[in-house]
Amino acid sequence: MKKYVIKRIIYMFFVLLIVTTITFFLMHNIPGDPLTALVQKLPEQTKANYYAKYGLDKPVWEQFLLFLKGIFTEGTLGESIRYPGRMVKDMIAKYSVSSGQIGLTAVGVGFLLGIMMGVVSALKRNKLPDKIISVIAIIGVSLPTFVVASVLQYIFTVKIQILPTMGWGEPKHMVLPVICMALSPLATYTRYMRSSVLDVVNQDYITMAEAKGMSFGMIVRRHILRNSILPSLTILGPNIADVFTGSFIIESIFSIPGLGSYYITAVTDRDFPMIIGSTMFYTGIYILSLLIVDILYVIIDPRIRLSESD
Amino acid sequence: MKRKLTAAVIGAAMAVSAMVCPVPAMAAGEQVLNTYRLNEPATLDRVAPTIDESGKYILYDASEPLVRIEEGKITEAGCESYEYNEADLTYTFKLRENYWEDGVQVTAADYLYSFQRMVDPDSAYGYVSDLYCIENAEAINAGEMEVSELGVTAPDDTTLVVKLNEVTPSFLQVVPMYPQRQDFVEECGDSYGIDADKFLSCGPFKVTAWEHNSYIDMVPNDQYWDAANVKLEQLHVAFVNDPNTLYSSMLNGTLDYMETSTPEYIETFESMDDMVVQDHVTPTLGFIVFNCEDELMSNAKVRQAFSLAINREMFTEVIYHGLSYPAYGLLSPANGIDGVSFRDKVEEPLKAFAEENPDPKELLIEGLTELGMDPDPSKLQVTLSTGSTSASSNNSMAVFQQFFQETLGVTMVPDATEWATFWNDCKGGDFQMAYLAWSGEVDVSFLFNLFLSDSAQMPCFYYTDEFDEIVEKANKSTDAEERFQLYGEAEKLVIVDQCQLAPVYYSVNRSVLRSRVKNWDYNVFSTAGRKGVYIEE
Repeated sequence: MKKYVIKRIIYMFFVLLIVTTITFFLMHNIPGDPLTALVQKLPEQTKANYYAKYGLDKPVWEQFLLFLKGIFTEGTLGESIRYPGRMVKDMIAKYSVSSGQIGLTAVGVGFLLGIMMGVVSALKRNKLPDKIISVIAIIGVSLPTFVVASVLQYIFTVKIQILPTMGWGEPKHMVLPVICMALSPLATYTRYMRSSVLDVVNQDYITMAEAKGMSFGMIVRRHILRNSILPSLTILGPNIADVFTGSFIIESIFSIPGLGSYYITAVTDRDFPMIIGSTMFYTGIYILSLLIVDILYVIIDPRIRLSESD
Repeated sequence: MKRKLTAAVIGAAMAVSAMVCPVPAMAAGEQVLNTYRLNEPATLDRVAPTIDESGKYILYDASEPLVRIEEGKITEAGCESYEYNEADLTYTFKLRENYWEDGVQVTAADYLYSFQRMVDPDSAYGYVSDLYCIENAEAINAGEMEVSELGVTAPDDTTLVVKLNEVTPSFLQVVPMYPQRQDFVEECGDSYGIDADKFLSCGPFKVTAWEHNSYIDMVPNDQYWDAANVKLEQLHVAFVNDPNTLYSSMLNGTLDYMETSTPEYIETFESMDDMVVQDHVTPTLGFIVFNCEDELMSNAKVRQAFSLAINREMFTEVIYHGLSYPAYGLLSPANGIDGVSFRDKVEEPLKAFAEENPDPKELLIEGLTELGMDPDPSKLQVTLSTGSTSASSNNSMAVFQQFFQETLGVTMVPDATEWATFWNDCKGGDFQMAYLAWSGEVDVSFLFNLFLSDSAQMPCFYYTDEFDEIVEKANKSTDAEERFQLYGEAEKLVIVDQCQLAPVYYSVNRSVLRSRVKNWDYNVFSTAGRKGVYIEE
């Protein structure tokens, strides 16, 4: 197990390097540069000074080597061009916290409720609870977040004024964004869970457990849940990675200082250091969460072996 | 088990209700103003290359320029008086007794320092060419002279002298004159102006909190010279760009002001007693620029035909629901000289030309023949590029497509890319026609200067000496009548004779303000800030 994890972490650095390299060269190949995106009017001399300041006057491969040097020798990702004076590393560290706070809560709520609803819906198959849950799940999957957000915002901030329209800093600011972001994972987990529970309840070992006289609650917790949760766990990894980069839409609707809006505007503004920095961060979190999910597999289902030696 | 669960549910419910306790309603008479910007400022450093409209907006409140534009007039702010000496082209400013928020007095050296930073080539200040009217500014920016040789001096702590190269009637309006304190700027280094604690105010308000991408909070600066007349107790600027959120915020009282062009919203606000809805034409022009180096567009008659084919009344109605004015000239009614609107003095040149040429298709065929091309417009295919892929932009493209098809019989292909790609193509001449908007400034010369051959900002790739001469003469003239006449001639060249550009619309701001907010300066060029604003219950 230990050996496996170390191996995976080493692989992770290779993947990170490859993704970074590809992104770096792709990014420098799209038309437009940070300066044209920023201002329309600039004297030639000023422009040249500006390019020189960010090393944009050098050939792309040299810029790439300098970038790598910066990471390995100083541990820096450079300075944002769109927001001068702000270091990319600090921006990611700061804004991923609020994105993560909302996102993790949303995924947590969505995951737990989704699992519960999925189990209920499968066990009460074709009865009323199943039908109600199916409707909720379909709404959750098919309604875009911005629609849900706008509607909830109108209901809870204009009609019944109990929540703030926007802002950040207090728990009450998290309520609406979390609900909006939890809806889609909730629906996804419900549907995954329902189908895998349906699969499991027809297995012989469930009949066996019933025959042994095991209580219903016991069967659900010991046999059904553990055997049917794996598919949901598989999508949990990428889901967690998603939330750290934030939801651009939710953040802009509720005016939340998250990473999402910086990540998107970095691309349109051609803010090279910010693009590469957030891409690396995203990739890192993604790989890491896949690893965690793999480890969780073993804990939940002892039949799974991570490596041959285990 | 069941009891435990019930307890947990009740506990959770209590926790939730504690979090969602009602938003405190604003007490009557409270002097709090809630406003917004679409984006957060990149910086509050007035001379940084990234200074943007949001940054300027905050600085109106959190800094004290030498003069402000209030109700359309130049008003003394950081200076108590100023004098202009025509003979030796110098402005002499007498400073007021004003203090930074930390209690240090604002001196002429602080203003001088920001002038020097603007022209310093290392600053890469984007609008440095506005300062070229100051002695030695251009040479310093080109790295040929030292910043200390700039034609701005501070003979004593309360006097600032600016020496100009040439007569520049727009000097006070165009050159930003905000003080910056050298010791503080140097202490902050690269991070000056990017956080609440990395910025020092000497204006009516000081920045107390800046939650990036969320809001900026300001309170009155008790060190300000005119603090007695600052009535607001708190100024909250939220950064929000979602139209639904803005709308909800106006309805529930989170915001006191918004700008919108959505007809449904306007209808609601107009029906409310406590809202004031007003329209203000801005100096922003929406237009199509022709690439005059393109084979087809190299012919003036062809360009004129495309310009005339646009039904501007229909365009503003369909795309902007009447919330922008059809444009037949370069300058919008917002621009003027000495308080007189340019449009009151100069007839829009395209109107007369349209009357002379009722059928643009004829012009097009003539042009095609001159070019030696197939004179059948139906075989022609043109491309219109734009730098946005939004729904509204797509609609605009479809409307243009219809105009060119119906009036000229020409097939138009839209080419919509994101801004950075689009603008790169424009600069490189890789386009035929491009649809964009350009914001004019308080000074009438701004839009004309884009077409001067030595600046060549407008990517039309056709700049003439005739135009240069007229505009340069107009820029230096101090006689308003003469300026109107000269700019009028220049406008006719750009819009009709040389036709590098087809104007489409003058943009209009529709603003909604809560009626209890008083003393709001609606002037689109106002730099007054929120200093005089107060709440009346």
